[in-house]
Amino acid sequence: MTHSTLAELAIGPIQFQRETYLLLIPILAILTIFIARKSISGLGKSSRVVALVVRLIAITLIVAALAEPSIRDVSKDVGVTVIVDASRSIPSGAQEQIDAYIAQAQQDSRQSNDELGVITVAENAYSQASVSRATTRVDRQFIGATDGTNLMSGVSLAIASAPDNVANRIVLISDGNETDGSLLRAAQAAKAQGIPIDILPVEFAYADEVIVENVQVPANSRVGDTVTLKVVLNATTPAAGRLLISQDGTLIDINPADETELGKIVELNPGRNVLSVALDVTRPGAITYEAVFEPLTGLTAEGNSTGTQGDSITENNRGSAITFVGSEGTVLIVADDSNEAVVFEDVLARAKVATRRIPSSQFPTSLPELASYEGIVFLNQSAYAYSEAQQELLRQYIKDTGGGLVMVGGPESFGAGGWIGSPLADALPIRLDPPQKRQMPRGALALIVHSVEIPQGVFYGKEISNAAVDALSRLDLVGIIEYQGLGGTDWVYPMSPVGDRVAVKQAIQNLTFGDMPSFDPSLQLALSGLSNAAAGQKHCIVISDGDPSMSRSLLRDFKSAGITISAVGVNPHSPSDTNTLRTMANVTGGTYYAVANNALATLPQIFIKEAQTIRRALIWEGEPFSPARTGVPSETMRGINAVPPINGYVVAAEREGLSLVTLRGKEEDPIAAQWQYGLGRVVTFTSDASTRWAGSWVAWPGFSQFWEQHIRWTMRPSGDATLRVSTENIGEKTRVIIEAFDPEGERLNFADFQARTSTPDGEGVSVEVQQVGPGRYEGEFNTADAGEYVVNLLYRAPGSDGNVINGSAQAAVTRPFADEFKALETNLPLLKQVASITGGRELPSDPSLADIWGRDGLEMPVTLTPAWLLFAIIGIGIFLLDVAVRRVRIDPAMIAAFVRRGATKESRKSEASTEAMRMARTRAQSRTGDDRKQQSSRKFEANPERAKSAEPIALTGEEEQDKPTIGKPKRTVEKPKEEPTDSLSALRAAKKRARDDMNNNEND
Amino acid sequence: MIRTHTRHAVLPLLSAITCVLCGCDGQGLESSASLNTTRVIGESGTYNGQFVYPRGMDIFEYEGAPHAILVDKTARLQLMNLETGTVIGAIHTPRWDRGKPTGLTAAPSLLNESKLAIYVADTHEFRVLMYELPLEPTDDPQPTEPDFQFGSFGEEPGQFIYPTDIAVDTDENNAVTDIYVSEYGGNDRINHFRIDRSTNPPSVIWDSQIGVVGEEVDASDHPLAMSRPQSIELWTNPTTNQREIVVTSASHHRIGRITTQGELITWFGDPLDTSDTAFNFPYGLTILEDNTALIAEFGGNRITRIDLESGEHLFRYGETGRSVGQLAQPWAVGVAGDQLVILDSGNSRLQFCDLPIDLPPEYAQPGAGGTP
Repeated sequence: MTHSTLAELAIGPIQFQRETYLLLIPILAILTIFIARKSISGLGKSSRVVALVVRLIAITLIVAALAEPSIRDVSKDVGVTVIVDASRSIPSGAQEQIDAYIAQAQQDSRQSNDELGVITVAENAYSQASVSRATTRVDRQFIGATDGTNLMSGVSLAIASAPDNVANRIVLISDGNETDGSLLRAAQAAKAQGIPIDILPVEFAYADEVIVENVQVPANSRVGDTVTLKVVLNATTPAAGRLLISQDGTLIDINPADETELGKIVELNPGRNVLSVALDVTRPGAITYEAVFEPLTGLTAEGNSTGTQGDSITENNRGSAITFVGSEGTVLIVADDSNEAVVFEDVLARAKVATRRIPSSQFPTSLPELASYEGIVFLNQSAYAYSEAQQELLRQYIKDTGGGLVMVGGPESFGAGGWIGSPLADALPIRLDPPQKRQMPRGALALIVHSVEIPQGVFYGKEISNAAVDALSRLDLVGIIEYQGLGGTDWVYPMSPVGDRVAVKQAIQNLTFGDMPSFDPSLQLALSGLSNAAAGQKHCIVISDGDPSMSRSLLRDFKSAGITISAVGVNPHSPSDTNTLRTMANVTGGTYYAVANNALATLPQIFIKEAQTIRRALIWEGEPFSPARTGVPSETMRGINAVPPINGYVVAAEREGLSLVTLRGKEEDPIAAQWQYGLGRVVTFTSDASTRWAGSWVAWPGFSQFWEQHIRWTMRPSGDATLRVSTENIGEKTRVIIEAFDPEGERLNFADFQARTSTPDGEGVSVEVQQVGPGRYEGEFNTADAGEYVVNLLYRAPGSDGNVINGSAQAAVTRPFADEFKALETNLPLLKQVASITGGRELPSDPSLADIWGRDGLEMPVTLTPAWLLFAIIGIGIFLLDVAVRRVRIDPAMIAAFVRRGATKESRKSEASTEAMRMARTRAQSRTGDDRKQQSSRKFEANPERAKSAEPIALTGEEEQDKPTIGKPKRTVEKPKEEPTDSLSALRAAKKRARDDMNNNEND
Repeated sequence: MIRTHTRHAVLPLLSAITCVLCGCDGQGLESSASLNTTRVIGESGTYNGQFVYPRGMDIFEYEGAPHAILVDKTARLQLMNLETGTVIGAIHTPRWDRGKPTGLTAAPSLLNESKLAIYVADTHEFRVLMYELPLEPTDDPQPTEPDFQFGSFGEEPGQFIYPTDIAVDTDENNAVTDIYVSEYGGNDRINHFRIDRSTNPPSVIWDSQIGVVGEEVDASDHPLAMSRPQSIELWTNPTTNQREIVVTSASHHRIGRITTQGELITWFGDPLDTSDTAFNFPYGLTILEDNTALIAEFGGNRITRIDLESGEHLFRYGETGRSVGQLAQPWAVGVAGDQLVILDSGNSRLQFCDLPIDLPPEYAQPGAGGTP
């Protein structure tokens, strides 16, 4: 069946695809008439006319079949997809009005076979109901995040899901304020598909609204300075409220005159208001100030309260700014074992470098805070102590803010610490996967995935599986088992080496997370796969809500095979499910993790930790040896010709490119390596700095020199010049302004700036900085997305005495709320443009006049069903009739008699069928009715009638009346003489008769 | 009549030809044959007549026409007239945040024997709910408290982990006398309750436990070892005239016959048999008047008919797939008129199928799970 709106040649409901063939009809008709004059001249007049007409019809049909006829079925129905803007910019209360509007419009416009579909759109579009006759109202099941509006995704989804058997309309109900995507581009796509977009603007204009437009503070300051914090507020009407300022999350008193009040009561005029607050800077590092405006009341022109709050949207009442408070370069030491940290603190104290020591649990969670350190030293840190976001921050800290990292090893570090596949792995000068040449014991992991019944469960399930695979080394084995709805339990990725991860990630992408009835088949497969795997460590991870059944004897088989199972319970339905999963872990020696709905983001961390159990193989421990100096000239190894022995390290591989290996271990494994990553520098040392693997190092005279040189090499240069950095918000962009002075206080000209900013999505971007005046430089970058941006500026400039002046500076910009809350009125022009492009209408506010399912302007889809075979069969049939007309004589009396006989038979059959239906209905009567007893008695004993009828038919010697007889009946009538039946025989017989006649005549 | 199409002589003929071509003679089948679906009701969605992975169905006669009660993964109960395909009543169970019901049985009300009621195995709420008919005629079903409920979470006698199905027995006056509830979740068994009518409303008193959870994969640890008993039915054996419970022990891939006193009669199927002829997660169960049973195989995506006395396979229909005539994880099966009605859960629809042989009506045991 094909669908088409093109009409090549349509005659009534028939459309011909190759209409030129139809020209054959008149040609063949003339030819037929010409031939018929002779060929059927022997027939009577009426037979001749009938034969000719029949022959012409047959030819017409057969030619028409060649012209590829199709039966046109023009749809009469309309399908409307309603796209409802569910973002937070739509005033609360409007959603109910939308529902009521659609309900009323249905009553007035929808016809019985018309269809309705519902899509909600906010940050993402979700189909709430597919376009169907059954859909009767606007439902909202899962609408996703509402801090943004991507109307384009809604329209695209509507186009993609528009059924092709009805004429489609899209009704867009929105304020037209989009924060992502391009509605106009989607409108072009709808136009191309011939789908008009009708618009129903959600009109609003916030009468009383206050927005914190901007908060400004100097980008750099020093301890003891007093900085001025400027808060820019925009008010639509006069309003009064309280201004509160917090420093790093703690409210500070900006109203010392009033002991009961921390904030300041302010009155705002319509338009832009700038409020200034003087603040003392008391500590070094990055300080985040947040300003919050709490609305109290609207004001009249005379300054009296209006009795209203004076503000409609509170999400846009806050803003923040960051100042970097300068100090001598500070290094952050992150260590969970204080003995290891003390050694480094001593080294850096002697080098007059300020340090701050924290355990991994206190690692900063914001980039500005991290950027206030010039360098970071990681001592035996495991990846699972850090969230994915923190690992990403660390990578950005190096790449975009120019920070330094010295990563020192230990049993919990590098590949053995779960850093393989982490965001930080990209920033390291070594590859954490072991080199292929190393013959090392491998780990094997079998993943069993079961349905995760939560919104976006499949998405999270895939993220989890990816995290598990990322955490393995390339030599490890991995296999994935799932219950595929239509195919049963099987390996969707058979146990095989991780390799480049492409194939296994493809398999993960295809996972369906089927709802398995029983764990048994999956566990049996995993047990068999892991038992046969050539691996040292074998482990199984089960992700499930825990409700499949399970034979506990299998767990004993796992235990005896030395294979552990860790179970991840995602939203178990009951304590029993938790128990099932916990039993799996307890019996086999694995771990049970309970994951609630709102803690899914932590799941990848679980897998990193789990994968660690099979990555212990990455640690080399043995007889002490001294790592070999590679001889590569390096600032870090200046004056160091040899290093003391070590007896352990984490195996990693050399990284191609600009990485520099300065110390090597067994089989050329990199021990110490370094490189520049983005603006920052990284050093890795895969052995440790404690008595565990490097006992003789602490007593080594070169110890301090070695580590001081390595740490100093990575630290961000503080610089000799003085830079005053400020930022200015210009629409969706931010301008960074730098005023530079050399050490003598003169304006610094001709400086070469290398600037980069981190962005909220983790992708840093370069910023072009140009000199715009004496000692003044400017650059711009995009800050459209909400979040934090840290700009790092590295500079080189010629000094007055011919020396090169270089150094760095940072500035931070924050966008505290999404654009969703900036819109103060409906974007009617955009909506009208969309309707205009697609040929849609602006729907009236009265739903009874909306005619949402209106047919006007719609091109109804046509369904074409090929009919050539039908034409051909009828044509051939009529052709046979043509032969019959000429060869067979029809006796009307005989036909009438035949019809009469048939009618009598049908009548008997109909009576029998009515009786059968009556009996069936009697049998099917309600149980709760009066016939209840009768039914009840039947079910306890076999139905005698039925039992009787079910008996096999016994064959006896006696023939029963009215029963079919067995054997041939006696023939009482003599067999008639056989007559020829086919035409050939008839012809032969005729010939024979003619010959006989001739013979007889001759004989006569 | 359910079918909207007139039965033509050509249909049985075509079916017969199809059967011959597929090697199907209606007896002793080992390979699965195609279904001749003549009608489909339902599609994916949350409005009346639509389903989101429906997981429970029972077909019964109501107001003179065959009806089905259905429940899906939105915890909506829809009462559907199978002749017209219209939903005449719909409700939500009171809570569904932990999970949704799976088993449904239409039987006389526990409170009023003259009324028909729906017994709901509210699986993830660890209880049995009872709603008397009619259900609220609405297209916007609301959470509705049941007319009667019993059960609580636990492994003690009479408590439930995950109830899956209910079988109801009645006396000659249609009054409910016994209720059997199958369950799984580590407590795989059948709980037998007696109805005590000395109280008002009547009390549901625990009587006995039938079956134990199977710890071994091959079910060798106990004669009555069960693993996910998904459906139960009551049946009177015409040979012995004895009441029996028929159960599908889904994860052991077998069908059991047990006396109501808890004595094993026989198992059909072997947990370790992985051949094509073995049951593959038998979920749905419906007994027919001729003492045969229809089994919906969730894992096998097919419908199998067996002789309940001998266990002999009589036919097997269904292919895996999404097209009309194909099945994806069928949870339940029944008979309406002379058509096979399959709850094609994975495709969110009901399929009505013609068979080349006549199907007898469902076994007319009142109250037995899944029968009219």
